[in-house]
Formats: sequence, C-alpha cells, structure tokens
Amino acid sequence: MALLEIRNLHASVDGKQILKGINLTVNGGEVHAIMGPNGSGKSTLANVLAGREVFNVTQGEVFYDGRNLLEMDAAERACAGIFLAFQYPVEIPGVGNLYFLRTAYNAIRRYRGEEEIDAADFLKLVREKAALLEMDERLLNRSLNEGFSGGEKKRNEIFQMAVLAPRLAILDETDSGLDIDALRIVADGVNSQRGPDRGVIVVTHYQRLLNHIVPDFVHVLADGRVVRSGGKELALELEDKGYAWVEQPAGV
Amino acid sequence: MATNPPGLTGQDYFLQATALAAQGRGQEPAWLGELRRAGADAFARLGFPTRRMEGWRFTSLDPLLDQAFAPAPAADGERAIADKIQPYLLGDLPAHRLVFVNGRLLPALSDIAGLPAGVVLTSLREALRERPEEVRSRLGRLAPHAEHAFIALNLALHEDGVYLHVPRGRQIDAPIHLIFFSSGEPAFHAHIRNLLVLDAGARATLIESYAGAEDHACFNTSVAETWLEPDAWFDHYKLQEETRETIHVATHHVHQARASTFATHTISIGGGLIRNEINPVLDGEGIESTLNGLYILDGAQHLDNHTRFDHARPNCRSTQLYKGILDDRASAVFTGRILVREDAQKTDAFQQNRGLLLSPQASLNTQPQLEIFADDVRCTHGATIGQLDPEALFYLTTRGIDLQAARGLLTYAFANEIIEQIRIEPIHHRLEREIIRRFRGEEQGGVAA
Repeated sequence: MALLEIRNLHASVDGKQILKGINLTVNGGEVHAIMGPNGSGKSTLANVLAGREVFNVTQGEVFYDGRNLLEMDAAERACAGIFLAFQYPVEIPGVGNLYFLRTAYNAIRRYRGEEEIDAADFLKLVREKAALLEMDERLLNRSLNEGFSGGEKKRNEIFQMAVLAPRLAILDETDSGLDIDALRIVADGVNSQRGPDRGVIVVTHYQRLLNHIVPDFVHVLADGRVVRSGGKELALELEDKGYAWVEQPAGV
Repeated sequence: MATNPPGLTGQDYFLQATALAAQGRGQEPAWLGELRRAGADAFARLGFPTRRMEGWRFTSLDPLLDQAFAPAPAADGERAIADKIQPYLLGDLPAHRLVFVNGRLLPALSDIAGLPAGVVLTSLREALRERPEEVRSRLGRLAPHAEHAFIALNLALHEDGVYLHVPRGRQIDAPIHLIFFSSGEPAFHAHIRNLLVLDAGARATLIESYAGAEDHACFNTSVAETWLEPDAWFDHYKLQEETRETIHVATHHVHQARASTFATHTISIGGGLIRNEINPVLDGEGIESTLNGLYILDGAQHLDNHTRFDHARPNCRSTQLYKGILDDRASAVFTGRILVREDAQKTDAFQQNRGLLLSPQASLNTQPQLEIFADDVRCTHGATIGQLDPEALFYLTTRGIDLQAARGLLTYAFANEIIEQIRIEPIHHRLEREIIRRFRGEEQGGVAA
C-alpha cells in the first residue's frame, strides 16, 4: 500500500482555483521533490495535505496509509504521522518551545494508545535531537519561535520533526533563509529521518537543497498541475533551463 | 443593627440605611460617628452614579437599583464556614490569615501567629478599641467620600475590615492573606474598610481574596487606604472569585512617599457586576508603581476597571498592564487616567490594555485618559482587542495538539504575561486550573517560557 496517494486533487481559496488535478503517489522509503515557479501551487499542496482549512478541496481524493486523509482534521493527521515544516513558522509568545513540543509528543503518544513520556526521558530525547541539529539549547527554553532568526526558525522546524519522527514529512521551502552551513545541517537532519517505511516531500523553488537531500523523484508543478515528472536529474535540467521550459505543456 | 423597612430597593433603601448609620453606634468613638454622618450626608447629596456621568458610561448599576437588600446576616457556624472557604485558602500557602464573613472577622478561622515584633495585624474594630488615635489619624484621609457615592456609602456603613501597621524597617516574610467571604440569605450588603500602613523601609505582601458560596445576590463595597512611607515595599494581590450574583464595588487609594515600591495584581474570575478603582498618588521622587490586571470572564459578567495615577513629583515610574479574556456576552471596561502634574518632570508612565474576545457577543471598552502638565515626560499607552491567532492555532494543530487544547494553550499564553509577574506560586496554579476548566485545554504546568 502506498504511503500517500493523491488522485485528481482540486483545491481553491476564496473561490480561486489553485490546484487543478494533482496526481502523486509516495511509497515508503521515497523522497519526492516538488518544484515549480512561484504561484504554481506547491505551498498550497503542502498545506492542503497538512489540513489547512482555508483551502477548499473541490474535487479528488487523498489516501494516507489507506485512510481517507480529507476526513481527518489537522491534529489527527499529525497524530497519524504527517508533519509539515512551515515555510513561515509562527511565533507564539508565552508558549515555551519545550513545553509545546512535549504536549505535541504526548498527544501523538496518546493517539497511538501509548503512555505519555516522563519529563526526564523527554529531555534526553530532546537533547539528542538538538545536538543532531546543532541547536542552541537556549532556544529550547524560549517562547516558541519568538525572536528567532529566519534560520533558527527553520532549524527549529526540522528539530521538531526529528523529535516527533513522522512517517510523512512535508518540507515547505525549508531551504529559504538558510545559509550553506545551516542548509547542510538541516539536510542531515532530514536524511537521518529517512527509512524504509517513511516518506519525504520536499517543496522547493531551487535545486540547491536537493544536492543534500537527494530525491528519488522530481515533479514540476505549473498552474496547479504536475507538468513533468522524472528522476533527480530533472532538477538539474530545470536549474539549467529555467521554469519557462516546463511552463508550456509537455510535448509542445 | 436596626432593621430597615422591607420592600425598598436601591437608592431609597441605602438613603435610609446611611441615615440610620449617621446616628452613630454606641461603642464607637464620637469622631467615627462624625465620619459616618459625613458619609451619609455625602451619599444623600451624590446618590448612585448613572450612565450619564463620565466614568460610568459603560457600567449600568441597574442590578443594584432593582433589587432589595438586607443587612448582612450573621455567619454560619464556624465548621460550615471552614468547609466553604477551603477552596480559597490557596492550597497550603503559609500565610498570616484573617477570615471575614459577611464583613465581620471570624477569629476562630484566623491565624496570625508568628508575626514579627511590632507588626499590628488586626480587625479595624479591634484597632479602634486598642489604638483609636492611630486609626483616627489615617482613616478616611485618602478616600474622597465627598465626591464618590460608593466611598461615602462605605464610610457610613462599614462594619469592619483590616488594620495593618508594619513599623519602620520591618519585613513580613510570609504573605498576609485576607479572605472576605459572603454567605447567607436573603440578598444582603456588606461593607469592608481596610487601612494599611507601611512605615519607612517596611516590606509586606498582602492577598485579598473575595469569594462566596451560594449563588444568591449580595452587594459588597470595599474601600482600602494604603500608606507607603519612604522606601516601603508592598506587593498586593486581589483575587475575585465571588458568585455570579455578586455586585462588588471597590476603591483602593494608595499614598506613596519617596522611593516606595507598590505593585498590585487584580485577578477577576468571579462576580457578576464588578467595579475596581485603584488610585495611587506618587508623592515623592523615585517611586515605582505597578498596576497589573487579569480578568477571565464569561456568561453575563461585567467588569469595570478604573485606574488613576497621580504623578505629583519628578522621577517616578508607573506601569499598567491589564489583560482580559472575554467569552459569551461578558463585557469589560478599562479606563486608565494618568495625571502628570507640572512638577512631575521625568515621569515615565506606561499603560497597556489588551483584550482577547472569544465570542462575537463579548465586548471591551477601553479609554486611556492622559492629562500631562509637565514637559519632560515619557507616557506611552496602547490598547489592543483581538481573537486567537488562526495561524498560531493551525501551527499547533499540525503538531498533533487538538483544537480545544490549542485554544487553551494560546489562552494561557495570553494570560501568562501577567501570571509570570505573580510572586505567589499557588495563584499560578489557581489560574491554570481556571483556564483549563473554562477552555478545556491541556495540563498547563510549566508553560512559562
């Protein structure tokens, strides 16, 4: 069974059609890159999969691990193993970073019928993942994303991902705002999460992140549709020829 | 106390009650009888305020005027009261405690052993017997009964309250906890008068808890006069947890001398119709004064917070931060006056009122009023009214936290800016429980960043 199967997905916001029939299958162990010009629908697809309600699914189906994803709310999707690393992580003053993460971690444990983790074990887990991402531990004790630099926010997203260990990770423009060293650290963090039953969707405008997170498949979105799919070499070809090359329908 | 003719409501009833009080009480000193008469005369002249008056535009006193009240009944037996006040003891908080029921001290439930030598903590009645001249020199000197109907009413009718005197340089380590509890029928009124004096360099923490057991009507006034002499330090808390049928009108007048520090935290959870006035006068240089407020209201609760800072001298700093969470049809008013007199150069005044409206029927009126007569001052004020941030809610839910819990978490985070300034740990727990109960959020322990 596929980890994620998207069939003919249409979605709109404020009456404007953004996704116009997406088909995509992600199997366990695979990394898929979704590329495309600005406004092609990449971020919309990522957010629809995470359950953002401002997007209205008008047609199509999405199955996650055989379950109808569109019937699940955002929290249930997260509990079932979907994780969205935000393009613009939200600052939440007054909610401590670690407290928030433990609340999330335990919500997911409860959903699976597992016991909540105790504070000491959680701290151990968190320290390990923070070291992996070379996170400044002081950030853990601050309010969630409050006053973090752009790069710190992105790193915090991947840190959360490493702690929550999702089955399907969706990275929405995670590379933007990262310098080259941070990019490598974040990519290593993502790569450490790869496994035979796990999938990753990397949404990106540029090829450079894909040097570090090497995809099995690359799909190019234009005007709400997948206009081209291929292997990792497609990303290099795009880098070379630019998006204008694919914005015309294939074969023209 | 003489009973009043039955059937009278509102103004007429209180005119009669104050006129009776003006006749004086046998055991009291003559000067106090004169004060009661002055209060009664002022009330007769002023009458209750109406919404046509500035300062009362958003608060209707109809619930007070439309029903009949009786004098406060005697308290239930000690054991029954002991059970009823149990939830308001703030857990096992070690404190010097005085318990008042329906405005009268209940000595059996009070415990003020272990106070430092020289500290006087007693009921106002007792202080009137033991040290009348001390009380006489202060009582009624800060609260302007001639221009405020509720202060006038309280001056005429007050039954009892607290007298605190901390001598020069003395420090009381454990907090003083005053519990004002209302219990009994039929609908009654009770009036509390507190006189708090901290001499030079004295330090104290004081918590006032207002609570009630049964859901029946009662009307309480509370007038407090606080004197902070040079370098005194006073941390004050007011926890309002009365029943929804309670009308509570309170004024707190604080006179601050040079380099004194005052902070008060007004936490309003209960009550039906509440008016809180706080009026610090900064009458010396180098004073710090902080007014914090947190209110969590739902149903038809109405809360009116009214502050007035009088910056009379140079180089003082005042800070006001009020935050409110309003659900259902709850309504709140914040009026913050800052008066900076000509002499008060280098004043630094900050005022912020922020409201979180969880329902389209909830409302918050906020009015900063700045009167500045000095030219070298810094006064900043702001007000925001908003809802929970949908982006933040979505973010939390994408991590597996369900929507109800996410709302609870964000609501707590909103309140946390006030809560983290509270130095009494059991009050944090009390507020955490309340937010969980009202918003069904997750266990909140350790939210603070």
